Amino acid sequence: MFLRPEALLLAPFFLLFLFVLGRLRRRKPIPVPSLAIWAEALQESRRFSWVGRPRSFFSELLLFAALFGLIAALALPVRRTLVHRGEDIVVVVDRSVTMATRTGGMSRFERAIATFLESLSHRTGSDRVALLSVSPGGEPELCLSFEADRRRVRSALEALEPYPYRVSVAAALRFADRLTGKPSPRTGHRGRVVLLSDSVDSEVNRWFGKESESEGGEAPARWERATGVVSDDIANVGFVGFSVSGDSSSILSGPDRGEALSETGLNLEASLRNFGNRGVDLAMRIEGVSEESQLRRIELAPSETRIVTVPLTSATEGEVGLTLEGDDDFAGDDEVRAWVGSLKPVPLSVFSSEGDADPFLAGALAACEEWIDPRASVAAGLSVFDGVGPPVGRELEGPSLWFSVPNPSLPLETGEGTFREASLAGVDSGHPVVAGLRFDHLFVEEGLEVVGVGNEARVVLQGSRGPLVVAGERGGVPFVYFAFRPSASSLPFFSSFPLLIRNCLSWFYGAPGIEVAAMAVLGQGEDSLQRPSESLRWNGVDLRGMAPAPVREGRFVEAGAFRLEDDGSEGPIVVNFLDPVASELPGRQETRSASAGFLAPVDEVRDQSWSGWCVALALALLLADWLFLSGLTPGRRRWFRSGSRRGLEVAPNEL
Amino acid sequence: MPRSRSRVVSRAESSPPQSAMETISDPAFLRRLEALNRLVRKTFRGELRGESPSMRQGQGTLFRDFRPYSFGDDLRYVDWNIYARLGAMVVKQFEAEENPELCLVLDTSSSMRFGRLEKLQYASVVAAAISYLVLANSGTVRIAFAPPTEDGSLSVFRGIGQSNALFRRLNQFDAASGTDAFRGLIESLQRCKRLSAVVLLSDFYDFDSFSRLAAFLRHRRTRTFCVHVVCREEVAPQEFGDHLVDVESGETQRIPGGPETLAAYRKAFARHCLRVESECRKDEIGYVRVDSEKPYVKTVLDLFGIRRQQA
Repeated sequence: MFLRPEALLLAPFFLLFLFVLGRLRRRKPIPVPSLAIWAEALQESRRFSWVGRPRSFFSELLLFAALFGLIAALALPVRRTLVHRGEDIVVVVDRSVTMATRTGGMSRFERAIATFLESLSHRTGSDRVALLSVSPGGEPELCLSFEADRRRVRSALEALEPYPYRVSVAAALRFADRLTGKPSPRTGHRGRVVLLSDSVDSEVNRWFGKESESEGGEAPARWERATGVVSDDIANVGFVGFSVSGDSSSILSGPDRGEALSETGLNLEASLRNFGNRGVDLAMRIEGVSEESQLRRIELAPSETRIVTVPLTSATEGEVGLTLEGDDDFAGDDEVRAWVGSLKPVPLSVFSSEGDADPFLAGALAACEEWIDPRASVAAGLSVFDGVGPPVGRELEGPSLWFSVPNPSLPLETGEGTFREASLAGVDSGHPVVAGLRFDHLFVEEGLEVVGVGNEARVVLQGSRGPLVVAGERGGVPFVYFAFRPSASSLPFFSSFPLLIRNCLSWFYGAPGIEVAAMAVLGQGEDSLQRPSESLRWNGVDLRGMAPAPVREGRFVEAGAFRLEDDGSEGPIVVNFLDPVASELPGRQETRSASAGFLAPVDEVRDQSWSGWCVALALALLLADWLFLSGLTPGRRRWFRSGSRRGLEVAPNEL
Repeated sequence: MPRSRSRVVSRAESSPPQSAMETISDPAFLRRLEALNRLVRKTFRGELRGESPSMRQGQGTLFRDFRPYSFGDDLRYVDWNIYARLGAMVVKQFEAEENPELCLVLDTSSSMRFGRLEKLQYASVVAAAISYLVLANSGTVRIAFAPPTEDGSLSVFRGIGQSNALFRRLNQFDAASGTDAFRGLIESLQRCKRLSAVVLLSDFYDFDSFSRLAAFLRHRRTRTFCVHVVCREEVAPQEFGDHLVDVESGETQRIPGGPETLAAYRKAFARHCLRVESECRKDEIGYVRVDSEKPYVKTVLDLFGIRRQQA
């Protein structure tokens, strides 16, 4: 029911009109020869007294109700009804392996389907649902054509399972876009595309325009890997290089073509540090850039660090190489390292029991790009031991991260058994590693028991089955020991996880170092340079490994629980089904409980005016009051009933 | 003659009085009264010859009763025949024959001004008719108003020659205020040495003072007759709302409307009428209730006990 309040402004005038009308129609007192007879009549009939008061009360009640009806009619009440018009829904199901990630007893895939079916149950039966998936080859696969029977939709959805590998849903999205490209003759408008995905697929991100797109919808040009060649016979020469491919203007979006790239902020920065005990003279030759930048001579004092900036221009194309060459006095005791790029000078060594680092761990490390480049694993800056200890004979020099390593060479003692299903019991919030972080719903499926902790170590996270995270120092070098692998816990699904790794690095190294993308050590031979970063930034944390959910702006509106609202524009709706714990990043969309709002029915609004009904009701009440209650005087009763003059002919003695 | 009486009645029925002033001063009204007088004389021929009997015993010609002889009685009235048969001296008594004398009491309270045809107007017309008949028969008429005038005196009229003066007097009264109509009237009537007959024309809403007046008249052994004038508006009210005002006292009262109220009022009014009638019977007072819309000629005939068929 909707009212128009401005119409209520007429109510005082209406009441004034009724007041004046009432005064004009006010009946004068009726003279009677003797009021005593009337008083006696009042006292005579008990029935009269019992009947008259309710009659008077109901008469006034009807009068006020009629008055209220007239005032309500002035307000122009409108009854608004929503009529569901039906819709065609195309569901695109992402069947990548990441959708099989299971937390809390349900996988992302199962949660996605359950949530969608729950949302679908709130809609009327006039909707039709089509099911679109991806074949193993990446081709769109229509699992179910437009179907209104919910049982068939449910059975078709429940028949799907994730693949054991990654597939791209981009083709399926294009196909869904074609399906809903034109207004449906049944509903008269375009359909709706619902994507059930965790958005790990970068193609999905590109589809929704978060990454720069080149013409033709092709993948954007990127930094590509290049390898420089260094002559083996020159021991004191190091070389790093990379190449730039494609149109440079497409590489750096924003400025006009031909503008100096340096103005875009893209510089090749080389940081040189002399680790030796005496000064050295270096010759740095840069290939692939302007002439004046090709050769520079640099003198470095002992322990001196110098940053050389080489601006890249629009003419830069092809391989860019950086060669450091020591002078003739450069000896084996001298050590000069050069870092080029935008990464931090933290060499990383990852030792994993499964040949490759845990993907969640790799993602978390990549999130700390201001510290490290996980693939520039040279030297012994930071060592990560994932399930295995350091190689035999290799000394542990720098800080280290340990993940479920039995018998580590650390001041702690691990048991022989494992623990299962541990939850968080306590947090040493004063420790810098976990400062400012929350692990309320941390759950560890399996891990190694820590039975003893030395004096040089502290338990940072205490679990219900024993210590979960221990931080300490080993010979003055800090370390952090995790009693579990990230993949065996819900920790990766916390936004706190990359922040935890970064806290570890901050605790290890203090302030961030000089930005270096790659490092070349004189005399170490060839090295390669990865692209500085192709990751997406999200609030300063790289979420590439954490399955970012870039979506079109305006499609997601977060209000308490996860909720999607249609902004009226045509296009697919992305529903990310991550995990119920990944909600700590600001701006992060989570899919913990998708409510019915995410598939809110598209309804038509119909307004029906009730003013006429109000007036009719008021008139009916007034008529009822006049006929049966207040208006039944003998004269009116004579009008109402015929033959009522009998009362006038009755003589008193006949009574 | 029956034809003339019938004409009188039909005229009176066909032309109800518009107002007391216009009716009494109307020559047609006097002609009707004269016709009415002839009819009354004819009806009571031999009974009202010349004189009218009196309640007092005296030396008239109408035998009334016997009583034992006492010392000082006139021996001319001793019935010697009874003495010869029974040996006891008995004296015959006769009614004193006096000229008819009537006291008309007209209620002028505000309640008498109620009705489409005012009860007071109707009562004054009836009073004028009765007075004329009395004056035409050599009688005496005393006019009293209730409430009485300031001096409390009664206007006395004798003979047909004073009929015009009587009519003027009936048109000169002022509407009285107050509710106790008969309270001062008793004092005025006490001054009258002879009070043979009294006719009260009222609505008798002041029942208490009427009861006292009736008791007084019974004590004076005065033949009394009450004319209870009612109007249709008070018998069966056409219009009544929730706000009523008393025409005499000015009091107002909220009365809820509805048929129950009307039924209760009709019963209450009937009880009032019966109460007045019962009081009259108790005090041996004649009583008649007339509607203000009833032709006054019929009312007068009813008062004199002349049936229509007889006429």
